[in-house]
Amino acid sequence: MADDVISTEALSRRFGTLEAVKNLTLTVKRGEIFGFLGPNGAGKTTTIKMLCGLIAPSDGKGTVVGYDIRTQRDEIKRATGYMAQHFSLYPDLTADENFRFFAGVYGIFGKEADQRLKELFERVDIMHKRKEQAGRLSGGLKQRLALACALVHKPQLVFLDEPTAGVDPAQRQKLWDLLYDLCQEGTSLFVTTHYLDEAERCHTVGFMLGGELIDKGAPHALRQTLRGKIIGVYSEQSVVAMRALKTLPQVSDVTIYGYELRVFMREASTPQAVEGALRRAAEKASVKIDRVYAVEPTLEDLFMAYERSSAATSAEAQAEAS
Amino acid sequence: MRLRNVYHLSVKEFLHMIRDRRTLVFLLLMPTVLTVVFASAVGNSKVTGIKMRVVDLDHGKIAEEYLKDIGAAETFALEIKANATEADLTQAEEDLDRDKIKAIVVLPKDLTTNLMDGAGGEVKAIVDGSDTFAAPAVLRELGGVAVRHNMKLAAGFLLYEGIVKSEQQAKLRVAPVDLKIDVRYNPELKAQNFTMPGVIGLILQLLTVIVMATSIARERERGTFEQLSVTPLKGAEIFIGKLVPYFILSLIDTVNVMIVARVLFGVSLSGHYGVVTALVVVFVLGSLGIGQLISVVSKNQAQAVQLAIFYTMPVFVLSGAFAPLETLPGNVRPIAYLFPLTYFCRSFRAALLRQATFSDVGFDLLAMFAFAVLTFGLSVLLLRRQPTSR
Repeated sequence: MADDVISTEALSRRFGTLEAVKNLTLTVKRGEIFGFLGPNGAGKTTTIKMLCGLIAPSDGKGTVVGYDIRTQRDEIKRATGYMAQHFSLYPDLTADENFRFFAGVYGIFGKEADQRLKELFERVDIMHKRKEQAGRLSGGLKQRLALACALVHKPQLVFLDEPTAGVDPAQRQKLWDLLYDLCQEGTSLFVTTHYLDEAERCHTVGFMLGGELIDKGAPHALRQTLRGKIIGVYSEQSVVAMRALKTLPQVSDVTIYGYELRVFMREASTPQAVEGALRRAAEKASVKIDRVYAVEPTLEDLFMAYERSSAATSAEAQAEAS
Repeated sequence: MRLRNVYHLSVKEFLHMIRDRRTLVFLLLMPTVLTVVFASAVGNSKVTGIKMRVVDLDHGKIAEEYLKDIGAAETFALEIKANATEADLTQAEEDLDRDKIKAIVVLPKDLTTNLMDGAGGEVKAIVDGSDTFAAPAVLRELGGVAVRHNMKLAAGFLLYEGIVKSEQQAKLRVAPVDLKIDVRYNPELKAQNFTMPGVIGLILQLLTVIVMATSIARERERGTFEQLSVTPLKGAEIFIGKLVPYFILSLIDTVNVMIVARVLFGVSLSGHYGVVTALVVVFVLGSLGIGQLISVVSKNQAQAVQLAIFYTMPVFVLSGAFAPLETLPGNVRPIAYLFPLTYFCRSFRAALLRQATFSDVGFDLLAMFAFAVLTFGLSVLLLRRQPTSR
């Protein structure tokens, strides 16, 4: 489909016996910010590398910006940008020199490069630091410079591998504003992140776990799947209360946020329906519970739920095997 | 391959080079300093000043003459025990044990008397064989002294017995065949003339291999290689682009080193410019190729440096840079021909000392060129096969 900037079918990648990505079927719409989530080792980076033509898939097929990821890697490289997880510009070269080098590599030089530099450096607000060595820039500025370099050839799609890792909140905000601007102009963005509050900013998110895409959708729609399954409990002895509540059969997990406990129920329910059971369990452990109330599920809750269910299935599989 | 891309990479690489001032100064000075060190230390193949003691138990006239002959050789730093006793001999042997001296010459009791009576005599030399440099030099020198002295004695007898009339005639009888020596290309047998071309090759190789080996490994370590890989740059473009600045640097260093060799050590460097240039260019390309190969297989700079040293060390010994290939055992010699430095030492020496022409060094040029093409091609292939690149 012409509207899909990325489209894969049963994409797999093995490294020896390790199956880093299994049967990945994924579509990303043009003009979207797609958030690619998952714990470390879930296969996110391997997927990105396959999509931007750095490594070949072991199995399956796919297209990126309309080009085949197996046979048209050069075309993909020309039409996409990539911003690596770690700062990957030359620290001993100035911001200017870094930019001009990458411009040159994409065939942009002379007047055109000057113009592009002015345009992008002003956009990412780094013009005043252009003569400084890249290694001496602050974390946020480094990221913005890297973004400018990734945009030099006006790519249709930009891959950003954890673009805000180690950047302070104000700088993160600034970077996200830039990303929305880009998106507004029609550039598609494929972003991996660990920060789940950041994932909320994406139009669509996909969860990777153990090399598989386990869920995909708009953040609010995904969160709704947990509606009713999470009950908030306020207790000033939250640690003891957590231990007590975990013993209940209908509770699958409890996480602590200060004095608030987020209780994950096995079945969707309401605070009124479960309050009695929760209070009884607390009393048994002689802990005081102040309030039981409804809470809005977050992506973080979702993330925890996914990990928990995957751990449970692998435990079951092991039990069956033995 | 697009030249434009090579150009952009070379500019970047050149910027890296001038940004890192300390390394740049090091790269420019290291070859010159090493040349001075190697040329003054390794260049001297003549052993001098070996401590030797002569124990004269004879106290006679012949012993005196013999002493004069030995004393004339600069191989030795001589200690003479005139009018010695058996106790002195024991003392000398003890000193040899303690490495205070390297050799003892014993002129036995009654040497003069025996010879005058027409009987033979025996001069005894005790040499410390644990020092494989000093011992052969001592043996060679003493052998020479013995022959010269015997000739002198024989001539003296002939004259004394009236068989010949003059010293001139006596000499003709004793040593009728004379050896006429004509040393070409390096008439003073200056050791530096032999080692210098090899030293230049060694230094050039050390520089190029290490510098090139770390170049891609550094990008890999810093993560910038990943960024390069997502650009449309091709492996060959990356390699050639990286090579150009270091190639130019190597040529500057070659000129430096040759000037130092000329000015400080009077090494005659007077080959045909075309041949000399061609040899240096092809050799440097081959060494850079090796560096690239190392760089491709290394995951980080430390590994690259280790591999570079692992490659350059055996080549030091095997290439014939300091000692001719003929000093290698026969079954080891073929290994030497696996290294471009071997061809370079041989042909560069020929070009500098014997004004060799292109037809003389054609084979060596070809061998080194083949090596450059092979390493370069292999690097590109290996890079292509690696998962984190194209």
